[in-house]
Amino acid sequence: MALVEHLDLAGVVDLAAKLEGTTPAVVQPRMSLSAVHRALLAPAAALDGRTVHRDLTMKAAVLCARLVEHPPLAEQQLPLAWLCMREFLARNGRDLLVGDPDEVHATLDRVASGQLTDSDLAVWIESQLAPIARRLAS
Amino acid sequence: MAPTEEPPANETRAMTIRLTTQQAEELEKIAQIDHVPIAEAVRQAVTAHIQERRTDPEFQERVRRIIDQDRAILERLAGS
Repeated sequence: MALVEHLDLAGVVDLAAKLEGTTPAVVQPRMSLSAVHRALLAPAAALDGRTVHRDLTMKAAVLCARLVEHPPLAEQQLPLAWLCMREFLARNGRDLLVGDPDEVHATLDRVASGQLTDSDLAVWIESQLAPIARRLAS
Repeated sequence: MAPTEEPPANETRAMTIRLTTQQAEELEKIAQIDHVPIAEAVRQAVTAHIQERRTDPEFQERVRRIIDQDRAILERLAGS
């Protein structure tokens, strides 16, 4: 399995700052860093030395879902989760076809309300991968 | 490097991390050379890493592109 490049705390703070059009120093005090930390650990979770989420889209789904469920920055709950998921995929060579905003919103809303499981979200992400990225992921 | 003060306890968070033996040995050497506790050497490394990430041009450019590309999605998500 290829080495996965995960997001880090600084990266998430930077993404939140960009969403708010400000600097990391301004946004960081308002963020729950423990929520960020918890979300960042999820994709790399291991049990008995074995990776729990082996598939890249599943890792992306888990990261996104944890950030939706426990938002580090309440007023940017869904945008930050989306952006972190996009950046996670991008730094691992995967791009998404830019989809319908209403569909994206409905999907993340269903994650927030618990109607969509991590696996369901991973399947949806897989369906949104740009063709070349889908070939890389397989 | 001059020794630095331990940050106040209420401004810190304890974390347990597992290093390779080689990393731990090299970290101890760095701490000895810099005359700082190992915890301070770790904090300095984390600070340097954060700074590096914030100024990483590839990261900055990629995020700018994603935000431009996903502007309609991000606005829709922010409006919920």
